[in-house]
Amino acid sequence: MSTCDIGIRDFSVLQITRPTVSRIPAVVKARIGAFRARVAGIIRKHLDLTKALGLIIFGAVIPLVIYFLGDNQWFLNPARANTAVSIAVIGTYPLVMYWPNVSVVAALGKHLRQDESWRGKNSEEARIQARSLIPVSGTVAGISLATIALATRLANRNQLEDINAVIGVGLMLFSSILLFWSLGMWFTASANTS
Amino acid sequence: MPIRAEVWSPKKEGLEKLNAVAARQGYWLITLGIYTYFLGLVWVLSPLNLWFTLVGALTYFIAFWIVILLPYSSLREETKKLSGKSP
Repeated sequence: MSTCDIGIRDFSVLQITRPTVSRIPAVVKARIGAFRARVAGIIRKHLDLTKALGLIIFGAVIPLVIYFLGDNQWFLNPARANTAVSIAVIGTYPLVMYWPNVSVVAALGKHLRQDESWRGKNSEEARIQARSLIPVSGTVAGISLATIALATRLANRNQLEDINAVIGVGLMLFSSILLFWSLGMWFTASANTS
Repeated sequence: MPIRAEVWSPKKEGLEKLNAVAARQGYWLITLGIYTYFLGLVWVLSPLNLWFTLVGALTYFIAFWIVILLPYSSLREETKKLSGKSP
């Protein structure tokens, strides 16, 4: 055993036995806990209202503030316009996908995502749905990669000199990675368990 | 003497659970993948002309209005039933 090993071991012992002292007083901790519980209670009581407020804030207020912030107003700043649009679009994603009271897609998706749909006789139907989504993921992932090739090839100048184009290519590459992962997940979900 | 391999035989309930977990992951991966593809397209096209960003955003929100918000009132009962809440 080398001295280095001993040192590492001693350090690990110190790490474990060191008492953890919190700098936050117990009274403040209790108040924070009570506040969090109260907020959670309000959200639970008015869930739809909270979601609607979230949609307005992330889908409209924050993008508009980013868009009109500073000197470069209107359409003079592409990065700012793109950021504003991206936040607005991503802000609506949870509503479309995870708000079954409003979105039909979310209501049907909820059935696919819950455990009951994968038990007993229901599993047959659910596996058929998963199997039908395998080529969808693959096709969209392929389209994403083909778009990157087209977008970087057909421009009459070097697109990669522009940071906006680089971010766009990065987003599309990321999307194709997500889509290929989803392909694998649908394949896994469609595996026969009976 | 035939060679007998050790075969792992998991419980059926466990496999069904794995199916459900995979479907949940596949659901958010495919939807977020399509969203990021659309956003990537907006960012890539913006250096050519910023109108692409404007038109992309406008068409998205027009489609959003027609597909999500417009049938909200007419499909309210059905979506509530689907989501497990009786109207």
